[in-house]
Order: sequence, then C-alpha cells, then structure tokens
Amino acid sequence: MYLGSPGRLVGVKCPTRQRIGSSERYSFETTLEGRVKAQVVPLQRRVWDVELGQLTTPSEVATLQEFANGAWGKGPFWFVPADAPVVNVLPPITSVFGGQVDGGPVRLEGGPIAPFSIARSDGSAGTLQFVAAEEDPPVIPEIPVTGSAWVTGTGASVLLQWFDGSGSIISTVQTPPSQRVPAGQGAAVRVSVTGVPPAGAVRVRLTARDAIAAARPAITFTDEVFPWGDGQGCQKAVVHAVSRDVTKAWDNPKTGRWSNLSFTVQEVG
Amino acid sequence: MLPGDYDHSADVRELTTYAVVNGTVREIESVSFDAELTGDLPDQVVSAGGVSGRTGTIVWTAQDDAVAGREVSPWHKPSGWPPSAGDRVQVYVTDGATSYPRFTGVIDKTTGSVGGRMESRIIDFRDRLNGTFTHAALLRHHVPYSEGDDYRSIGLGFWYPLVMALRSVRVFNTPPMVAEIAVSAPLQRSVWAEAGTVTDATGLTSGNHANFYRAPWGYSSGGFNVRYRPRTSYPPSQPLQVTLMVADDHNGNATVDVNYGDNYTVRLSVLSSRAVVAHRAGEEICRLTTTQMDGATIVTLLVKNGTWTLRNDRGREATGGRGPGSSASMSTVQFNAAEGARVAGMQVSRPNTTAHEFNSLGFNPSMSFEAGGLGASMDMMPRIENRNVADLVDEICKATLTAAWWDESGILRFVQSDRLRGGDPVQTVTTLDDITELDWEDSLLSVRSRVHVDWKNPSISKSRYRRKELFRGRGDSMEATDVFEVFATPDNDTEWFGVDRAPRRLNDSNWGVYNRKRGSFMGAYFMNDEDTELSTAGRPFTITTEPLGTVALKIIHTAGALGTGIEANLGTSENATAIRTALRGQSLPVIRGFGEGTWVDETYTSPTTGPSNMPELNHNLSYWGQEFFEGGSVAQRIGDYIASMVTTPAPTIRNLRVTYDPRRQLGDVITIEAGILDVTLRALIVGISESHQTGQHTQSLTVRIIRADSTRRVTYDELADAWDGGDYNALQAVWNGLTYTDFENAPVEGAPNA
Repeated sequence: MYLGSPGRLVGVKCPTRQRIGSSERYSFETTLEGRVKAQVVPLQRRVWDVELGQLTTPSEVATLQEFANGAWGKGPFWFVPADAPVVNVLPPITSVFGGQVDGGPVRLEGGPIAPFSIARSDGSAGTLQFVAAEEDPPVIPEIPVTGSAWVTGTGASVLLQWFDGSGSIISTVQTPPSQRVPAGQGAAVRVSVTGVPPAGAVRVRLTARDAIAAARPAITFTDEVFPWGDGQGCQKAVVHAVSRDVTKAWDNPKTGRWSNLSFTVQEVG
Repeated sequence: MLPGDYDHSADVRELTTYAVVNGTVREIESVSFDAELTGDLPDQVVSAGGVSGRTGTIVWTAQDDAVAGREVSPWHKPSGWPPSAGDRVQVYVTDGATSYPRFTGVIDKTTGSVGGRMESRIIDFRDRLNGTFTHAALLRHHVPYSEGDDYRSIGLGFWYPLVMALRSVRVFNTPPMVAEIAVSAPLQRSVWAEAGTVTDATGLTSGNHANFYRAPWGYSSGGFNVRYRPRTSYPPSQPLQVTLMVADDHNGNATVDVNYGDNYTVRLSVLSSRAVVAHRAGEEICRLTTTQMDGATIVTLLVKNGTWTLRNDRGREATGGRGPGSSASMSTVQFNAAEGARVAGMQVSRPNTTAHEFNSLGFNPSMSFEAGGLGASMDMMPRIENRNVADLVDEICKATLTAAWWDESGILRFVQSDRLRGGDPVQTVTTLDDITELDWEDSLLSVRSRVHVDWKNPSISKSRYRRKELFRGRGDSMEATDVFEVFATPDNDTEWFGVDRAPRRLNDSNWGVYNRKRGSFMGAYFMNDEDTELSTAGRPFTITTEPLGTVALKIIHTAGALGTGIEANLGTSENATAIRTALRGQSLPVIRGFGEGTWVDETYTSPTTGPSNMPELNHNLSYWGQEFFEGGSVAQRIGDYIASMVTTPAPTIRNLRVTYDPRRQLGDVITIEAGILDVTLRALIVGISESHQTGQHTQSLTVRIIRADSTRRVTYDELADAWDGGDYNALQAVWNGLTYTDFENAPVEGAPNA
C-alpha cells in the first residue's frame, strides 16, 4: 500500500490486516404510529484500521512513522490501500463530473447493469472525463498502469495521459484499434489500455475517446486488466492513532527486532 | 409557510444546512435555535418562559479544506474569521433544489478553547430597538393649525405610535424619509406628517377622516383631503421628487399636488386603473400605463431641469419635458384620495445629488404588520417623552394582544391575535407520518373565572381658538431682587393641545387684550405701601420663558430694584379701566391652548364567566384602545376575546416533535390529525426549536390549540351506557327534527349520562 503526494508516493509494508469502515449514512426517526423516517447524510468518509503484522522491521516501521510524526507535513495525503493496486486505484465515483450529463443506467456486456454513466450534454460521441484533475491518481515509476472502462459507441476506446509535476502532458497511450468497440454492439463493452509511466510522470489520467457513454472506470497498477471493483483510492487522508507492540527485541544485536504496528487512516475533506 | 415544493411526509430525505456570515459561506458542525412569538395572549395565561425572539448557537468547524494547520485566534482576524459580535449571520437549509432561510440575525458572542470547538451565540435584531422616542399628544380629530381654522381630522390608532417609534430606530414598513425632505406622510393609521405640517385634514363626508385598509406592508388609505405645509420651501428651479405607494387593490383616484404659489403646480395622480400620470396645470406630461404598473408598489416622479421622469419599483419608466413655472417657492402640498384609493408612504423632497434620486424604489422592508378585528381605534394619544422604543413596542403589543416576532428573514412582524388564529391551516401533520413525540397536559392552570380589562378613557375639551385655560399661576407677589419661577406642565393624566407657549406680556399699554380670553398672558402690576397702584412704565421687572418638552413652559419672573415698599403682584391690574371689571386682579401667568384631554380609568368586565373558584384576570389595555364611533370599545372586544379562551378548561399540548420541514414558520396554523388519540386539532405554531447536525435535522413545535374535534367512533356499549335509564320517549324528544348526520356527529347528544 502507498502513502504520499503525487511524485512522492512511499510504499508501506503490506498489512496483515486492513479493515475499512464508513461513516453512518442514515439517521432514523420513528413516528408515533410506527412509521420510520430516514435522513441521509450527503457525504461519507472512510476510515481504515490497519495492522502491519508481528514481523514488521524497524525500517518498515519508520516509513509509516514519518507520516505520523509530521515529517511529511500536516497532510492530507494520497492513500492507496492494500487491495487498491489490483482492484481500482481511483477514488469512489458516485456522481457525474463537470458539465457532462448522466446518461442513465447502462447494460454491460454479459448482463450486469451500471447505475449511471457519463455522457456528453449533446449526446454525440467524443471525449469523456471521469474525475477532476486533483483526483487523477499518482503513479509509481516503472510500475505498469492499466486503465479500463465500459464504453458505448463504434470505435470507442480509452486513453491514458501521463502528467508531470507542473501539470503538462508528457505522452499518452491508447487502446489499440483492434481492441476498440466493434460496430453493432448493444450493451457497453469493456476496453482497456496498458502502459508504463515515462520518466518524470507523477500522475495519470484516464479518459474515454469517441464514446457516447462510459461507465465503471478503473485504474490498476498491473500489466493487464482484472475484474472490476469500485474505487478504493483515497485522495485526502491523514494518519493517526499509531501504536506499536514490540514483538521481539533480544539482547543480541545480530538477531532481528520486530514489532507489530497498527494505525488508523482517516479520509478528510 | 415558506413557498417551495417539499414533501414533509417523505420516507427518506436529504438536507444540508449552511451558514452565511457577512456574505461569506462558512462551514458549521452543528446549529440549533429557538424561535418564539409572544404577545398573542396575556402573559398570565401562557407560561412566557425564557427569552422571546430568535436565539441560537452555531458550532463552527475549521474553515480550511481538509486539515487546518493553525489554531483560530480572536486576536488575528485576517479574513474576518473568527466572527465578530454584530456580524450579520444567516442560516439556510437546502434540499438540493431550494434554499430555505431559517435564521437571520447577528453574532452575539463567540467562545472557543484551544484545541477544542469554537461556537457562537446568535440572536435576532432586537438590539436595533434601543433608542428613545418622543411624540406630542394627538387627537383623532385634532385641534386646528391656527386660530379660527377647522379641526384637523387626522385619524388615530395604536398602530400610529408603534410605526413611528420603529421608524425612529430605522425599522421601516414604508420607505424611510429621503434626504432634503419637504413632506413625509407614511399614512399608517393617521395622516399626521412625519416631516412638514398638516394644516387641513378631512375625510370625504363631514366629520369623517381618512379610512385605513389592510395592505401587504400594513395599512393603505383612501377617502381623504389633506393639506400639508412643507418643512422647507424649495423654489421651482430646484429638482423635485414625489413618491407614493400604491396597493394592488387601489381603485379610485389619488392625487398629490405640489403647489408653488398660485401659478405652478406639479401633480402626481394615480387613477383607479392604477395608471400613474404626471401633470402640469392640467396638461399630461408623462404616464405609466396600467400594464407598466402591474406588480409595482412604489412610484416616484422626478422633475429636474425641465425633464419629468416617472419610475416604479419594477424599473418601468416614462419621461416627458416641460420647463418650470412661476418663481414662487413651494407653498403647500395637497393630497386627495377618493374612497376607492389605496395609497400610503407619500413623500415630497428635493434630491440635491443623483444618489438621492429614486432612492425609495430600492426599499426593502424591515417590518410589516397585519391589523386584526380586535380594533385599534384611539380618540386621543398620550404624549410620549423619551420612551425607550423596545419598552414602548412591548407595552403596546401586550396591551392590544398583538403578537410580535422576528421572522427567519430578519423582518419584524406584528399580527393581532384574532387575525393570527383566524388563518386557514397551511399544512396537516399526522401521528402516522410526521409526529415523533407528543406530550399533553390537562389542568386548570390557565383557567380564569372572570376577565377584566382596565383601560384609559379620554375626556376631551377643545376649541377652534386658544381659549382652554390649561394653567394659571397662584397670584404670588414679589419684592425687589426676588426671583419666582413658575412651571406650567400637565399632570400625568392630562394632555394639552396647541399650547400657546409665547405668552404676551401685559402692562399699562395693553391690559385690554386680556378681555377676549384667548391666548397665554404673563405680567405684573405694582402697589406701593400706601396700597396705591403704580404705573408699570419703567419698572425694572423682567419675565422670560423657556419651553420644555412637548408642552411644558417655564416662566421666570425677576424683580430688579423696584424701590422700598413696592410690591410686584403677578396678576392683572386691579384698577386699569381697559380691563373688564370681572377680569381685574386675576392671577397670572395664564397658559391657554386649543384643548385639553384627561385620562379616566375605566374597567370592562366580560359577561362570559368560568369556574367560580378560579382567580380573575386583569388585563391592562392602558391608552392603546378606546371607543368605536359605532358603539362598543376595543376593551370590550379584547375582554370578550380573552374570556372565550380562558373560561373553559381545555387540554394543551406541551411538546410536539415532528419530522423536519424547512418551510414551517411562526404564526402558521396547522391541522394535527392525531389518529392515535382520536382527535383532530387546529393549532397555531408559536414556537419552533430546531437542531441540525450531520445527517440529523430535528424540529420541535410549541403550539396553541385553537379547536379540537373528536374523531372517536362511539361503540354500542358506550351508547347503551349513555342512554341507560332513558327510554325511547326521551330519545325521541331529544332527536325530534334532527337528521342522521347529526346523529353521526354527536351520538350521545342529550343522553342523560353522557
């Protein structure tokens, strides 16, 4: 799992335990005759309880401790939880971004239905963007990135753009023509593209090209496409409640020192 | 109820609350407030607990995006944060489609702790009412402007002093006076001028005065002819601005004529079609048509450098051109209205900078009122000297059963109690869908056996000449170097009108003017120690006067070196033949005026009575409601109204918690269908308490029950029980002539055991 800012993502030892919780979405009231009325909280923020396991070495502890001590600043930081690199590094997407419109639920090839899709306001085929610039995930040098989405529209594809630290595009990579959406498709088809970040790239953006509607985008740190999961990445998080149990610290300096480090990551903003 | 589409019975709702401080949106953790209206029932029968008005607490969060690096400090406020006392704050609730205001007021106090929360107490605009107000006593048919003129029938009611006191602290329901004002007449229950002077005033039938009708802002008026003398007399070459408010139901001609001597008049008239025309000597210069006046309330005419412009508060404009007329300065303003006219807020001014032009069109009211059927009529208004405005408003509202509250947009509202309760229900809440808590109480706490209303009845004497003797000195005598100060002032239960506060000095040259018994006089005659009257010529004896307050006068007599044995008597000469015999040797000074009014204490007792073992209720109406011309009195209407509510015990609701609806307002009448209690109630919302936190918006109401209807079905057992002991003949006797519907509505009507 990774913590940090784009261009300075730090890898943390893989946890032995990671539990995610979400703030309560509903509050309830009961009327005198028994009807239950609910009120919705518009936004939910996630909390991760993480344990690095009993065999954490001091240098692995230090990597995390530097965040908790404030050496990296007050935050907030990008947080890529343990399962995100293979499932979906994007933050959770629950609404349509920017001036685009909601194209409504979309039937995906194979049967499932996506709850909403992004489309252009005039209904024509073109470029579709999924998240705002600040939510484009950071990348790790030399680790391949695969972007994918379900799209409709003949010849539709997805494109990865690599950004440098000042926000300019370095290069792009797009779905090869043979893998784009063929003609005559009724349901949305999943297309993907894989690339390795060029030197100097800190962020990656996924967009759909020549698409009428697009749904369920995913970015993973893998060299091929994997089954889709909802966004696990967190754009703004802080680390707190760090505690450490020393597992082994023997007199003899030649044997190892091990501890069990646990901490909490809170999504903020 | 605020306008908006909101389903208050929805099963799932999504709401957000936000606060705006001095125009900037600020993030909050939670906000709670209480709003209350008071004054609609006497204090003795309602537990007037806590602070009235609207108060609350906001708990603030960090205003940065995600992580705040620096602690908030009240000693450094780089961007106006933390908020300062007096900052304007508004709280809104939105469902994503519409934003509803829930609180408008100011920050009262902010507290915080290092490392903890910061919170602010918020209150309504009540501090605006701190000011003092002074006004002379008035009569509904007031004394003349100068001797020999007719009485000025100006109209009078308790709304007049209430509105004028609020205007003095800048709380307005009609536009405020603009700079360089010549005449201002708000017409809120009297045609008396705020600036300028009324010289003549009548209604359209003899002995009548202007009539006042309910308008959205308070009162509009029709059926009068009033002439005003401007405060300052501007020449016709100066710019002129005339403003008038016109209600939607205006249906008769109204004209404002600004007269510059006899040769030049600027006329603004509003026709029964609501079209507005500007004329000069019968020639139409420009006009706003009925369509252009659609939806408009305020219209202003500007005459400047030969260009005439009519503009209303919808932005519609019409222009024309005509040079100014004769060189005489503004002499009078004549304001006439037919019976069907509905106008108010008349102003005539000279806008000497462009910033003052059309000022009144951008008017945003800070107050509005609704007069009820309990009445407001007054024949005499007491003099008001340096009264605190908040106290005066409080006294008038409590006396006249006028409910007062600051609404969620920060506007001060007044509605008389009977009008408040007479409204149609705006919403139905049920125990099935909306009510989550309901506590009731059944007691005798608010029941009374008898209602008395104490009020002050004016006894008025007036004349068209200054003939009413208001004060006379005691005929003191003085010797050389003595100083006597006489203080002529009415006592607490008396009012003086048109006092002549410039007494004429009497001496040998003019004793005769005293004969006609008109006006105020002061003077002295001199006796030597042989009891011979001496001439007044050359005596070193000065008399000076000093007016105080609205009607009082101090007269200071100073004796110089009169000479040994010479006595100065404060009175009319004993021997001067110029004075009629009967008037010689009378005490001086004498202060006279156009009229005098005395307040007589009276009590009205309502015939409706309650259980005899309960205490009696005394309500103090004081000066603020008197008799009606057609018979009866305000005291009688108020007494009977209170008695109808307090002489029969009835259960009350102490706490009503409901699912949240951001449209609810104080003063709403709602229907409560409490199916679980077998009753349908009509109630008035007099208190709202709200609390907003993450995902939780709660609302509790304080209600007064107006009416209760049972919805219980009667069972056969209950029927049999009620009629037990009665026989068929008894049933027949009671139900003879009644219908099946009557039976369904009241099945045990007339039963011996019911």
